[in-house]
Amino acid sequence: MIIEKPVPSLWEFLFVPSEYPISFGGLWIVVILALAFLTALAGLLFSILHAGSFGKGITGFGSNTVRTFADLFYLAPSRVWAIARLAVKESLRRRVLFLCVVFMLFLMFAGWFMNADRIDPAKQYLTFVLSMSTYLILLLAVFLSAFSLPNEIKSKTIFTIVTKPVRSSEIVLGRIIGFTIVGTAILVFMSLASYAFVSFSLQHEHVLTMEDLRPYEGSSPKILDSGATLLMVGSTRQKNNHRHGVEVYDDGTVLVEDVNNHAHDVTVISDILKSTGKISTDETGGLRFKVLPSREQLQARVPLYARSLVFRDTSGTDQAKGIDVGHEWQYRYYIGNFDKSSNDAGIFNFTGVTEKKFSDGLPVEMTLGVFRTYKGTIDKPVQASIAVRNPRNGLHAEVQIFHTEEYITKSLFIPRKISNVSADVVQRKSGGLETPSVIDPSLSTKRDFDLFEDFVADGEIELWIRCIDNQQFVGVSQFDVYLHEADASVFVNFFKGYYGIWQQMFLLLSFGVLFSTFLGGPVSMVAASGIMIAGFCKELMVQLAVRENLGGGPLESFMRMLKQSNLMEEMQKGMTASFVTSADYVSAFFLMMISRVIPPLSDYAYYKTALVAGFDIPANWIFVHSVTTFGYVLPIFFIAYIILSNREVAK
Amino acid sequence: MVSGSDIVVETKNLTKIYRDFWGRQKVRALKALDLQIKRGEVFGLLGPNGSGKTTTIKLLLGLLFPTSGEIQILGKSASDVTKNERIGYLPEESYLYRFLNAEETLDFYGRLFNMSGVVRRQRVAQLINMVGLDAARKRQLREYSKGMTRRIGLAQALINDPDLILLDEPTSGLDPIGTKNMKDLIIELRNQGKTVIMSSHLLADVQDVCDRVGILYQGELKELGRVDELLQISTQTEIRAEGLSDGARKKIEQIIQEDGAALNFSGHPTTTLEELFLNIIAESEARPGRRVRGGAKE
Ligand SMILES: Nc1ncnc2c1ncn2[C@@H]1O[C@H](COP(=O)(O)OP(=O)(O)O)[C@@H](O)[C@H]1O
Ligand SMILES: [Mg+2]
Repeated sequence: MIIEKPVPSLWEFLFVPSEYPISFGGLWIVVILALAFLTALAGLLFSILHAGSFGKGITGFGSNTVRTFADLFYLAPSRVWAIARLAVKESLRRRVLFLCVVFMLFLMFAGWFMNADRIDPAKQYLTFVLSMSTYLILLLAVFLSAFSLPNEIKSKTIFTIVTKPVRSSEIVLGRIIGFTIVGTAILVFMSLASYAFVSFSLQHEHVLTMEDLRPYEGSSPKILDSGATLLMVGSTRQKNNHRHGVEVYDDGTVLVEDVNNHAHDVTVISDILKSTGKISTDETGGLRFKVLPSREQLQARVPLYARSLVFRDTSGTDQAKGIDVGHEWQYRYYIGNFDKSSNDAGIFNFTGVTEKKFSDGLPVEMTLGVFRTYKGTIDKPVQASIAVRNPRNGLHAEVQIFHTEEYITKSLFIPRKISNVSADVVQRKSGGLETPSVIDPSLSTKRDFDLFEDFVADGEIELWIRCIDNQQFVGVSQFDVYLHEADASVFVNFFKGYYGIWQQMFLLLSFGVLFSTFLGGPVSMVAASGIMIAGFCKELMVQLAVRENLGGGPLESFMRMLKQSNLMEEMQKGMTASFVTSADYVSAFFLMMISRVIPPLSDYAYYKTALVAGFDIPANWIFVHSVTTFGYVLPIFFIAYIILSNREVAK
Repeated sequence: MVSGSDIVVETKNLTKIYRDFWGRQKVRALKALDLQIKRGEVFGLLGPNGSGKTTTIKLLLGLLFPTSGEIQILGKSASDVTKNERIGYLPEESYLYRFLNAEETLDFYGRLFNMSGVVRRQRVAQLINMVGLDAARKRQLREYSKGMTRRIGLAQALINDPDLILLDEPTSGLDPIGTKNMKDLIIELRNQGKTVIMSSHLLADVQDVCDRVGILYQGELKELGRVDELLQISTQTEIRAEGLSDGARKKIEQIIQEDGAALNFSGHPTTTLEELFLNIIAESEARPGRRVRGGAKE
């Protein structure tokens, strides 16, 4: 649902090629080697040109290279720290803490103008604070880092620094660290303020009066373990886009329905109750209720995703892909209608389903796509069913029929005891192989089953989703259906989300420092902003580069625009066409190179998506992205160092 | 000739051409400078504004890269950072962080020398006292007067107790008392056995404190030598006596006349640096090119 492709483990990410023919670790080494080669080539050319003779140029370059590497070993933490402290002081002098005030003002305005009564207030508030924090902190990162070194060169304070035994590496590193400290401090402030703001904004109470209640008229009296009898039922008034069902018992107990992960405490105010300990409904003036404030709980769900998804076609054979309905999102395939003559189903293979994790049963959550072949009533939900199947012996039972609507997350619970169902044994066919090869019909003779004894084998279980509405389709991807395994700490998750923003900040300010070693302040700022924009559009650039989009590469697209030709139309064969195609091929190659090197800022945005959607941010992401971030910052630091140490600062 | 280890700074054929972004030549700021500066001397770079003094100092420090020629400073290349361990530098104007106070400034530069906290505190207090900024130690540099800025700049240059000190126009912007203090301090540094290279366009400063001077004009070294030698007028002889009788004076005049020399009682016995300086300029204007004068060469 929130992710479209699995996030690999750190090991897989570094060493196992997946999407591309090379793993990230391998790619990193290739890029570093290429950069080193280009830098060395440029340095050598420059050295030869400068020295005026070939021999001198080469020896000059050689000694310079040796010095550059040797100097790295003399990097002194105390000097780095001195520079970092200075960068912090300089930032404070530039009144960066004012940004905290700006942020508070934004929150105040948001508090006034944002309305908790809209759909999903938690999402709304979270999106707001996270986006605001991101924009402000990235702006700050670019601004601070891009201007600081050029300002020092302009004011010539750099003269008194570089004439001390300070290495250029220390200047670069000190600056990156200093600005990171400032940014981190502000980000910590923002995260705490945001957390307080969101919590505060979600705090609410409801109105509950006698008018909202009606006497309980069930056929049999409802009595609690305490002996209290149900008197009235009803629900609170609407607030923050939800209301809670309530049950009022005769001893003053009020049970409140849990909605959006929270309930409220309600007490009954009544003199008679106080004196007799019983509620009397004919009390004059009626009862009054006091609803205590509570807040909607943020969530940090830990999902267990299926290890794989296969599609069973109409004939009952497994396919990697389901039905492609065209214009829809690429990652989702569709399941056709299931009836007597068709076998269509989407099969989710889960592993790691243990009794320890799911002792009561399986909490299934899903967001399915819907595709209608006839209009019908558009808001009438489509009917689907969920079944469990034992992957070893093929025992299969349909456990529930449910309605599904597009974009709505549906929660189901498959209980531990599955009783009163008619089970059967179903064979799966794939590539001429049938599992299980022998059917044991005796398995399905009973009607009551235990989830773990009958359907789970070594932690593996299959969930089958079927569309049982005639001529409609239900769309699924591997990550549309998951088991709600646990709930992680919301507070910790909040900080994980801010760690995503921190990484973006860290990356951008490193780029800012890099640019500022050879460009002026404003130009560095534009360049770093360019990296920021490109980073957020990385996916688009990769698409352009791998020429996935219709209408060809940039040049071809341009030609089509000139000729006003259709995107699908073949280009006329000939000189122009082949030139355009090959030019596009070359430009695609460069785009590919560039897009590979541009930091994937859009990837970090997943942190926000997860946080807003109420999912725990997996540790995997944190590892993988931390490594990616440092994978970028390391060469950035190195290049900045080389540039600065070979630059005439007094020019 | 002096032994190699006694030479603190040596340049050979040092040339600097400023170029613009496109590599086009803008200014030839320094032309084929050959210099040797010995341990323990105070060397003055003298020249009018724009003659290449600052350029020379920046080249020595590695702030600029030479267009051609070689530099040896403290036995190392100018681009070697480690040489800075033993160098102090006072820039033309004190380019310091205006948001720091005197103590913070010196503490910061002390940290750049990897000094321990104890040593740093001691040194900071000592230097602030030496340059007479005790009363203003906690004030931000933005509030400092020109003279105070110069003094904190000097303290900054001495934080590491350097062996070689480069002072670019140390007295510029100072009042007479400040100038006097600065000169006393330079002499004090020489007494401590340190080597000082200073630049100035003020002749009196150089004359008072320097052992040797090099006179730069339009990027060329016009004169180089000991101050006393440079100021000697070799064609004139001065005789000074006390209680000389009129008869004896007559005899001397006679001898001079017999020798065919002209007797000249007027004027000062020696020239001033100012005269020398103006002469050089007049001469270079008349005959451009490098001026080589007997006695000026070592
Ligand atoms: N960064 C620079 N770019 C171009 N020309 C410069 C630069 N710095 C100095 N110059 C020129 O070089 C010459 C020598 O300057 P400088 O060394 O500062 O002289 P001085 O210190 O003796 O006054 C002057 O003509 C000056 O205009
Ligand atoms: Mg100057």
